[in-house]
Amino acid sequence: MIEGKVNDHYEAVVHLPLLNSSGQTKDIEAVIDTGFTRYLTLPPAMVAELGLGYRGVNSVILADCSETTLEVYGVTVLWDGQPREVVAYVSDTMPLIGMSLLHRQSNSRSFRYQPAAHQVRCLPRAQGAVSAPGRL
Amino acid sequence: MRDADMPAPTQSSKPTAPPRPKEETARLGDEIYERDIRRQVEADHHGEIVAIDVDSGDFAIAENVAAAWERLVSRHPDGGFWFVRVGYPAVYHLGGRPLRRAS
Repeated sequence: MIEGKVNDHYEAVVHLPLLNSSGQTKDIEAVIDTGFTRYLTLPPAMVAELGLGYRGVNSVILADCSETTLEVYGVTVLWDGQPREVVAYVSDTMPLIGMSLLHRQSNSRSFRYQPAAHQVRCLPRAQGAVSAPGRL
Repeated sequence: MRDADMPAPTQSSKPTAPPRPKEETARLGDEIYERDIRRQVEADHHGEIVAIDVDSGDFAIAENVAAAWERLVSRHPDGGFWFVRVGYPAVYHLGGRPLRRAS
C-alpha cells in the first residue's frame, strides 16, 4: 500500500522512491495528478542529480490545448516496492505522477481518501474503492 | 516489471545529457520526417510512433515511445531521438492541471 497526504495546496502527495544511475534509491515527493495521462514528470535538476538516461524529445499537447516540446528520460520507480521502468517528461514543476503509472500497476490501483486525516491510500485492487472527491 | 510503454532499464550506458537543445532536435526531426519518412508511413502506420535519429535520418516504428526508442537505440546507441505520432500533431495529449513551480 502507498500512503500519502493532502498538502496545503490541496494536492495528493505521496513519497516515490526512484533509482539513480548507480541503482541507489532516492525518495521524492510527487503529486498525483489524475488529469495527467502519462507516467511521471520530473524537474530538470532532479533528472541531472539522478543521472537518468536520455531518450529524446517529443511534442505534446497540454491541458490548455497548447503544444510544447519536452525532453524524455527513462527512470526506474519503486512503486509499492516493485521496480518499474517508466518514461519521465522533464518539467520545471513539482514531480507529477500520472494515470499511466497508476493504471498499469498490477496490484494496487484503487484509492481511498480519508478526509479526517487528509490521507490518501493506494490500496490493493480487491480492497480498494474509488471514493475520493475532488482531484482524487 | 515492465509495462508496454516503458523504456529499457535506465542503468544502461545511455547519455544523460541531450546532445543539442530540444528545439533543435525538434526542428531537425520534423524536417527529416516531412522530407523522407511521412510518405512511407502514413498509409500503414497511422497512430504509431516513429523514433528518428536526427544525425543519420534512420528511424524505427513501434506502438509507443519506449518501444520505438528500444528499436532505434540498438542501431544508434548514443542517440537521443525525435518522436512523432503518425497522423497527429503531437505524440501525446498530456492533460494535467496548471502547475506551480517546484519549490
